[in-house]
Amino acid sequence: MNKLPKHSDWKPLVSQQGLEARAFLNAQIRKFFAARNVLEVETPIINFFTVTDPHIDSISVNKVKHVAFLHTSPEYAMKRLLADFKRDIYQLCKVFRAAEVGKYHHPEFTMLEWYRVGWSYQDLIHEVDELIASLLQNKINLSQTKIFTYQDIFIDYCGFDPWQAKQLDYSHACDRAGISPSTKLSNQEYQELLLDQVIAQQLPKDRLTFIYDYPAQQAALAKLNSAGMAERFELYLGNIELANGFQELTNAQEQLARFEADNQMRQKSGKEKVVIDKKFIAALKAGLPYSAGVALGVDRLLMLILGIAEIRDVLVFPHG
Amino acid sequence: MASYNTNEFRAGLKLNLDGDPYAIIENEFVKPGKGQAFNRVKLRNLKTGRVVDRTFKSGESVEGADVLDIDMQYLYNDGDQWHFMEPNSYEQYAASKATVGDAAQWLKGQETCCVTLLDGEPLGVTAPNFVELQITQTDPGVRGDTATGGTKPATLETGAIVKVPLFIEQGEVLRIDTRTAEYVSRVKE
Repeated sequence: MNKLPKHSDWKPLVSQQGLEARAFLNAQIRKFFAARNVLEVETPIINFFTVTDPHIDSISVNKVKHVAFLHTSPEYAMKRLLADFKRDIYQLCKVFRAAEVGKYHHPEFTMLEWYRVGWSYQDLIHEVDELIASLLQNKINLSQTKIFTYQDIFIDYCGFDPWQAKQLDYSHACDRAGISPSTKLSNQEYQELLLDQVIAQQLPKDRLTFIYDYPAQQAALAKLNSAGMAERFELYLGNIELANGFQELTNAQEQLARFEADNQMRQKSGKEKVVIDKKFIAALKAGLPYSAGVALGVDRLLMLILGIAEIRDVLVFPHG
Repeated sequence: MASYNTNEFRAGLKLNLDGDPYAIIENEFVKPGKGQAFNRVKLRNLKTGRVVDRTFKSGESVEGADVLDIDMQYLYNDGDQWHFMEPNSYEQYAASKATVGDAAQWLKGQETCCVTLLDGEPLGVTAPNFVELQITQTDPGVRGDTATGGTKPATLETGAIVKVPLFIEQGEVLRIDTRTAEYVSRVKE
């Protein structure tokens, strides 16, 4: 017989205050979108297709005869709804990612994702700002929000222009910050590391900082503009990344090519290829309306509201 | 030698980096946006004691260091070498003064120490967390002064000097925490 766990092991880790804060936050989010006539939707958690993203690993589950995946975000399903109903929608749901465990990462977390039809990503940046300001009202005193281009934030906080930068600029910036990579990094990996570990660490704790117009290699599912930059934005509160948004790519051909490129990158790094979601591509072919969408990490927002340093402490039963 | 994936990283794990053995002190998983995940790791070089930062790409594998931590009994020193014995095999190991390092100041004989071996050679010695040693020299005790919180230096039988409360007398045996070099309590004989 297995030994019974210690008598207190069954207890939730979260405090009463944490439990109530989450319920209140969810209610506020729903109120915000109801007032703006954005419809709440639910899409399947278990799906037969998953993301090709080279840096996201899905959790697979057994469905009779088939392997299926827990969604890593509701993006593809929500865009299929957009392509058909062509109206504003949001979803508040649990999403799942394998092997992500850290201070700000947990394999199962809560995501708020929404889409605005006919909106530009710049319009959406302002709505995200309004949402966060309303959710944090009377909880955190925010200073004036600041919006940077990706290029400007590198110049201001790293001292060089990422569009002109050479490997040496990146490695020197790492040296100055006391970061020594164990292997040679690509320019893209340097950019990602510096943004998260050097730039974000210098951002004022009480400020919302938006960064937009990313390098094309980091476009993911964002549209490229005429200058070849990705119409993508990210939001940081202090040094914590809270949200990621796109001017949604609507071109099916280009989307398929990006998925195939993702799969090549996966193979190069020793990961398995992912079967491309053909229904998602078909929905783009049928016509995704011009729209902007964003996903926001709700647990991290809760951490900030409660002043809690580790994501597991806002979860009722964090994984072992 | 076994290698370890970054998802197995934890404090205490011993890794081989550039030919030197290191022990992980801290490991932090960071993942920027939709990008590459990294493990930012703080490690101690087991040969030099130097602490370094290293950033690994998550998913990377790193060779383990061929080091063993073995409990051994400290026997004696001849001024040059410190001698230890593995209690099951009775095999003896000699460690230089530099290898024994700070642990030497707590050792008088018979203590069970943790000896770290690299390729069969002692690389470092960790004293027991607590040792009991007699005071050979300290200023006379201030009777009854248990409240002011003042301290004075005391020399122990091994030569180590620790801060002790004012009421402690020469000749008393003290319990010392070797990790912080701090006085814990008196030991009643």
